[in-house]
Amino acid sequence: MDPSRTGSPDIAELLARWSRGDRAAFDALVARLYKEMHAIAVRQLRGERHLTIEPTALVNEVYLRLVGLSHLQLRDRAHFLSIAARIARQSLVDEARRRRASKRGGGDPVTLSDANLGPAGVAYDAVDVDDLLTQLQDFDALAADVVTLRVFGGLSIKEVAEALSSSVGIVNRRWATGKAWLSWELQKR
Amino acid sequence: MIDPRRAYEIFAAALDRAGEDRDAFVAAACGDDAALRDEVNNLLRVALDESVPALLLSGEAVAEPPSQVGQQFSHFRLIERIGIGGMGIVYRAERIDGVPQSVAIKLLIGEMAGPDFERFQREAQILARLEHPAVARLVDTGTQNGRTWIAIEYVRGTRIDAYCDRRKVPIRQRVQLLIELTEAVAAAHRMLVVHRDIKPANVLVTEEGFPKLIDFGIGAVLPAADSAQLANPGRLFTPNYSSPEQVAGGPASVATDVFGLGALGYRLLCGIPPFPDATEPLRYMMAVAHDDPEAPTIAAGRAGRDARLVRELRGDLDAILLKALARDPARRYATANDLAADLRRYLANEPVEAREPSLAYRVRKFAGRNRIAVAAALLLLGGALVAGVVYIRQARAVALARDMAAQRDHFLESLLTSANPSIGRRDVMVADLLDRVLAKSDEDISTDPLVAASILGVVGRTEKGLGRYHEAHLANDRQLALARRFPGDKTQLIDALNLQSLVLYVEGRPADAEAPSREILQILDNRCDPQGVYADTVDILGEIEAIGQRDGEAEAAYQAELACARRYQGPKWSARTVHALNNLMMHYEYLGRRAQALATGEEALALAETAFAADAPYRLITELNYADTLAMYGHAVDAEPKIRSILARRLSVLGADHPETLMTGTSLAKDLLFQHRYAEAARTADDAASSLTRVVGPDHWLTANAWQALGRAQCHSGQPLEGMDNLQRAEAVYASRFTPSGWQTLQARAGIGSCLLAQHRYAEAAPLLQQAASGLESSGRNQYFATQAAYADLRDLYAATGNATAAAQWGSKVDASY
Repeated sequence: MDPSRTGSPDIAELLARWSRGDRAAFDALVARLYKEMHAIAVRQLRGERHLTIEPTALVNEVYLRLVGLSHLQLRDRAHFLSIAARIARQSLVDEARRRRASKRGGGDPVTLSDANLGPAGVAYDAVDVDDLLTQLQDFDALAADVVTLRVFGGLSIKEVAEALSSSVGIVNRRWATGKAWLSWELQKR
Repeated sequence: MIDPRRAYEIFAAALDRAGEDRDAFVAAACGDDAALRDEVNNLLRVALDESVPALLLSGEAVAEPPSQVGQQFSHFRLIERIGIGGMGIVYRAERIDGVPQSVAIKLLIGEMAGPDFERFQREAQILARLEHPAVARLVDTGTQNGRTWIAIEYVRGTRIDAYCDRRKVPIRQRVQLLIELTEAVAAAHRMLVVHRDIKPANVLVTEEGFPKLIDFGIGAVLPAADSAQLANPGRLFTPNYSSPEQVAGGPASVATDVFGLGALGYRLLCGIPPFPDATEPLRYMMAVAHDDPEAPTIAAGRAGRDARLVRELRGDLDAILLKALARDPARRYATANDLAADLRRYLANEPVEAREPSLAYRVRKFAGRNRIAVAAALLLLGGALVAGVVYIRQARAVALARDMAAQRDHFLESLLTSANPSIGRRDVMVADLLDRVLAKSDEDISTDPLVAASILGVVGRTEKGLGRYHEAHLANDRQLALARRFPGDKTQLIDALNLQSLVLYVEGRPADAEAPSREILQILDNRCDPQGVYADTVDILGEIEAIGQRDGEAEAAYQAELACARRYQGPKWSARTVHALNNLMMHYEYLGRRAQALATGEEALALAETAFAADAPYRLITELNYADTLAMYGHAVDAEPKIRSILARRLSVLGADHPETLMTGTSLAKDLLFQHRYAEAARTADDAASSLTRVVGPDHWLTANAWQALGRAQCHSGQPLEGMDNLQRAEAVYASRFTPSGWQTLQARAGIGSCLLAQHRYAEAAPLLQQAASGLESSGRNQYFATQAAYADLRDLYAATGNATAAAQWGSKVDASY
């Protein structure tokens, strides 16, 4: 694989070290993950007229890139994705807030479009989604986690259950309530 | 304005209900707040109504894995599913073989095979021996349809954090819960088992208010749980209680559990975990590796706990928790008992150790690389003085007993901590430490004679463990003398007498060991007690009597042990019952009482099969003893597959070089001998003998057993000279290990005679066979298979030399069934 394509020649090595239990490698990898995601987000946003981004695509791209680079199956996909989902949420919202601030509130919002969140073609303000999830966190932390992993990481119900050490039944229920609440609140805005 | 939290909560609760129920529930919950009701109904519409676009959300519902309720795993049937964890699905299960027992069965995710499974089984064996009231015991393990399962004692209880929060448990009671858990962890450390995953999710509190640790050491037995476990996200699910060294990928140790207890204590006392902001695994890992947790007082204040609580935490509890949570393992409490002791000091309003860093520093400086052993000495001696003070102040026997037990435990635990091979020169250090205790007068050890007696008892037992019997007697004599000054305190006297009989027994003076054992029985008034002292004592007595060839008395002692064991319930007593039945079976076997031996063996086997897992040591010993007996009494062909199956299980569980595995090899060789398959028997015995020589040494009776089997096989397969050699080596070991006139020695001698007979060396064979036959006969073992074999050999010898009268005389002693 051509290292210059990713600009991060040592990701494969970091992954290998991480799988051997090297915590420093894990830190470096997460920092790199954030950078990668943020870079992809910024690049996409720059090219897009509507400034709409599909976060799960972002996560999947990083995931596939890492797997391709390391020539190995990440030992636990669900957990990797759950970490990536949180980082994706962070990097996207950081970017959205940065834009908002630089345009003094008058600029185009960064919007999220995701099949997991609403009908195709409908986009939501990333900052709104983040605010609402933070609010949901306050009254149903598990539901907020489930929604974050589903919306920002594209995890299946089963993967969410694995990543959160919960049961499929519980995750199904939290997804139903969390998703409905978020959709309704977004419709109201 | 609608309160969004309320709307959400009503909505979430309503969604769990069906149709009309739901409407009624919403109406009742919202009362006459129409706006709230509208909001809830809107949320329900979005969640339920398929015509609403939001419902196109592709949140596919995934079918839950098919329930396994009703399925059977070994002798357990799954009753209900009780949870899903990182390890797998957990069910409550009941035993179906009549023994009332509830267990939690974990069906592990993924397959385990080959070396992973063998290691898992070996480790599980160790865990199964861990018994403590505050630890949920590992009951059984196995595999079925490629899935590994673990059965653990079922605990009906509430997670400790929820328990404390919901019942608003007062601080001092929370500290008490933490002390109980810390003591349980210390007890496990004394068995060299580390929990490695202490966190609220692994602690339940029962209805009666007793805490129970679950999943003790389970993490260690799972194959994925290597050193990379915590740095690998695959198992990161609740890292909020892992230690910095675990996060860094290091191995778990005593210090890891001390950290885990500190983190658990932090959560219980402050209401929030250490590093509460680090909600994500990643952030936690970074935080725990680089930062110190906030002082509990500050954390509790920030978490909005009330001012009175915050005041209680200030000072001692702050210091204790932060010492347990130190990032550098060497700066934490050295042992779990040290942590428990400091928590107890807090409850007793005594100064805590955590607040005196300079003292700890001095101890470390002074002690150098053997610091733990030396610290144990200082704490032991210093602590003994404290114990005396506490005794006088409280003047209560109960408190004293607890305190003495604490001293003893601390001492033992410290010794074990110092037994780390990397520290080196362990025995010298420990012996040195013990010598220093012995050099002091009783009064200097403790102003309280009973505390001094208790400490001398520990010293004596440790000396015995080190094989220093002379010193063990010195300590034990003093313990005994002190205990005799207080005839009211029977516990101490019994402990001293028990130690005395044990030391005498192990140093090869069984006759002298009898008197102290008899005195214990007298103190107990010959009554079977639930603590098991009586059963222990009659067990030793039975051995002493059997060695002294007082067969009738030995049998009575074993019967008494059996009767006592049958009066109580529980795994400890099942093991005791099986043990007593084993003793009796072997006893009957030596006496040649075949029918009784076989019947008793069958009883032992039946009980062992219901009470223990297929690979539990007790069960294997019982099975092997029974198979040996079968082989001896004419059922060698039936016994062979049984012995081979035991051998296979021991190989997989214990490995090839374990004495118990090798012992099974000897049993197989003997069985083949009975089947006259001499060449195979010789090969098998030779393998066992050479391994045993390497593993337990050439002077051990286990090695002698293998030589004896080898010698007999060689005599019958064309190597009589080598055979004679091996039999003579066995005879010499028996004569020095047991007695020159003991049945083991005589049996080997009969083997030599038999070998000479096979070589037609009649003149040499005759006296050996006669000595053996009459010696065995005089001890009442005329039906024993070796005695019978000697009779038959003598009959054949005299027939071959033309002495028909003598041949007929010996022939008449040979039992028809032999």
